[in-house]
Amino acid sequence: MASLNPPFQGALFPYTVLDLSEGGHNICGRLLGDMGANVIRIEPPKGSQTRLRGPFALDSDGSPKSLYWAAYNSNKKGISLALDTEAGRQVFLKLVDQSDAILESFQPKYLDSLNIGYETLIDRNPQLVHTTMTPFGPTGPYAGFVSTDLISSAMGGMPFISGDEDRPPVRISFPQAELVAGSQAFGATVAALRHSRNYKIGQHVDVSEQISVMWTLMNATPFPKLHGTDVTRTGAFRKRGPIDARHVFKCADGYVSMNAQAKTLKGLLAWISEEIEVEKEILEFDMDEWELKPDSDPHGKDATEFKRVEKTIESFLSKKTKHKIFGKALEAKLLLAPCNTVEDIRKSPQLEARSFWLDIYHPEFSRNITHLGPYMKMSETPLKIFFPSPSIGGDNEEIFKDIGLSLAQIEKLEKEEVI
Amino acid sequence: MAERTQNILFNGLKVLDFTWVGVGPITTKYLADHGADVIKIESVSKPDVLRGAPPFKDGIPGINRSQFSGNYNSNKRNLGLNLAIPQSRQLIRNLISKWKPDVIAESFTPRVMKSWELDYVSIKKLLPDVIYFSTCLMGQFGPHNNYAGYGQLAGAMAGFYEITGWPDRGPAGPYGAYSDFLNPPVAFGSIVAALDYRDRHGRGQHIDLSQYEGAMHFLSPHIMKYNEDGSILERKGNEDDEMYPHGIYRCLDHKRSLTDITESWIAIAIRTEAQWLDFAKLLNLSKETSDQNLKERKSDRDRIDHLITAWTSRDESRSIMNLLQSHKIPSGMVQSQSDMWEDPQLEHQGFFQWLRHTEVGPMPYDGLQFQLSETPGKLTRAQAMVGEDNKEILTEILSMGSSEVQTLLNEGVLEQSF
Repeated sequence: MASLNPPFQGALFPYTVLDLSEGGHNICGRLLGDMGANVIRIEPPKGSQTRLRGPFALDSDGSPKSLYWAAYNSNKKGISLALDTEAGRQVFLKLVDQSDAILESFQPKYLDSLNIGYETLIDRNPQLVHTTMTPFGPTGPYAGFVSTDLISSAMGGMPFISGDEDRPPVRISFPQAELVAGSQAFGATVAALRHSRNYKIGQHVDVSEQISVMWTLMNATPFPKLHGTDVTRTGAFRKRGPIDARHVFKCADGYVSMNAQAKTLKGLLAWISEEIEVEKEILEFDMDEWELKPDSDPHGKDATEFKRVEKTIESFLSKKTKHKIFGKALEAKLLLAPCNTVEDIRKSPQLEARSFWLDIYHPEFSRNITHLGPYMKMSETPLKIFFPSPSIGGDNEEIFKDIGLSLAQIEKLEKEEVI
Repeated sequence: MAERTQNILFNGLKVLDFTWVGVGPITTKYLADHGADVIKIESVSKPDVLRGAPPFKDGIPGINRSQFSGNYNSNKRNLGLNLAIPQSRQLIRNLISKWKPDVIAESFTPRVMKSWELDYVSIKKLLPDVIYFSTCLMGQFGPHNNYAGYGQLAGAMAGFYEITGWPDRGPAGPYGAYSDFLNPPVAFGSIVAALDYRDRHGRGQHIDLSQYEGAMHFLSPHIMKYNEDGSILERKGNEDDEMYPHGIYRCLDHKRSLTDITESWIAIAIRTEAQWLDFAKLLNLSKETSDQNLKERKSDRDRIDHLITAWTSRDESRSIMNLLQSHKIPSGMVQSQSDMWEDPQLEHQGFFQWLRHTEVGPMPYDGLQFQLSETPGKLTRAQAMVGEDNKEILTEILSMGSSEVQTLLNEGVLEQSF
């Protein structure tokens, strides 16, 4: 496949990676590709199940194509291969011989059942990094459990502490468990690749969605052992000593989030009093001296003062727009930021100034698709989008020729529906 | 010796760590947990702010008692240095010249390291091939680059607040400083990728990670979707476009052994029609109900949710999960932290670990983020106190004697929290 950019050596240029993973795990190979690795996405001849995952956009024929696929599979070459056929496995093993890593998210033991599991692969290629992304890990009592984003998130503890107190726990409305596992897999795979190059030894990298979700719980996990309590969900509020302090406020066109630190409260009151009259008493509260500890009186002087300040802020912000509020936050350095929708994000001048949006021509849509820019800026080896996500088997000929198959052999595999 | 070396991922790697709060310390923790020598620079006058945040040993606050910061700073040495004092900055420059760290990491707003002449441009003169990792909320340049804030705010800005909660109410937000936990694994990978490049080409570089931009990659399909047709993803409780039943249902309350909570919930996600039929059979649903397709079920959701809750509320979540999983129906306990401490899978993996803190004794640590079969990471040391390793580090790297270290302590150049 013709790349849109001239050859360029990214940080991971020497590495070839076979990506058999699905769904959000695809972010792992995407990031490796962004850093210059040669990533080959292997999907079944009928197409990857990730292509069925929304959101979708219409292609030039008016049929829906997955943006999920497009987002997490750019910078990958695409080949099709039926691993459940003997001929397919022989081709796969040839690919493994010439690769540095494989990424996969099959049920534990699935590749073993096809005789192409870890032991077989590492035997053929002792320097291979074999990264598995599974819901709960490859062994143990839950290894065989069936999961989805909701299940892995729930077992990893995030919903229990998210959502409103008076309703059931909630998940984030865009699946995260596979993505956080994929990002852990990225870090671990890069580290294992470098080690393999330096010491000529491959290894198994085990990433579990449950543990990856647990690593997003901030400070929650030690509470039972240290305080004898569980952190519970408090919705738009955060515990601040004896009171529930609001951290999400309604504004004229949506919501904003605030850390109720004294400096921010003072800055906000200063802004408010520029525009409307604020009770003199409130302006004279000594916020730095407030003592709001778990055992403080929830109806005591400090708690009552806090609630009065919060009420003043709540009523003022309800009439201002997100844009106006964030403008003030930037100017006065307040811990106050908009709860952006995807629409707001698209308008950010900061992202514009950092050239975060990249319009890339995508053959499957026959038009430019706006992609998110590089995850980070690296001065010597900038991340790039070299090419958009592949079509099914789009790079078959190039890749299969590379491993020594003749055109006749490739045609035969096609006819047998192996590729 | 050769055997030993090849089993340690970052054997001999030296990291000077100026980071604080979430993203930076978790990023350097990966290196420390896998064998790198990480020296964290911190002061008592302005310690890592997480030292002031719960949970604390025995629930009692104190600079040496927080496990919020503890969890992110295992296996690191600590040099207590008050960088507001010019003499300290000279000392750190001497240390950099002498020690030659491979990686320097910092997580201030862009003006801070510059004001101390410790930014990439300044350090590059001392160490031309250094990997210098910078992360802040908004990135090193751009009109908002000096805007400081926590991951809660970057999580809100990156879109995660708007899409967490119930459609008939305002956003609830995912718990905590969400973006702080999305970025570290990718940041860690970028540092190792830069090291890999340096191994081959001898060149270092500067990495600029905007936590706001990084977090958006965990939502990118919907940002692309807006670009295509202007549609905006909204919060929808536990609903899923492609599955139903898909939700969190109340189970029989029960008391946990570690805490006083009693509420108990089960997550159920029916992905296929075969799973729906098995599920309907277990619940003894009528033929008319079990014959419904996805669309029909969705429009009948109130009634079906009611039937499910009537069934789930008769037992504890663990029993329901085990029963449903034995029929290959995707389901899982909505685990509280105390549930996770008793989770047999995490037990099997040896996830939670205890490390002895020098002053306060055993502290509970979250285990490693991933397992490497040949170069496993290992938690060996609890978070150090501020300045705990002053003498060792300065003797080892700058050949200082005890009296010299004591003088620096007296002058307030060095600090310690004990």
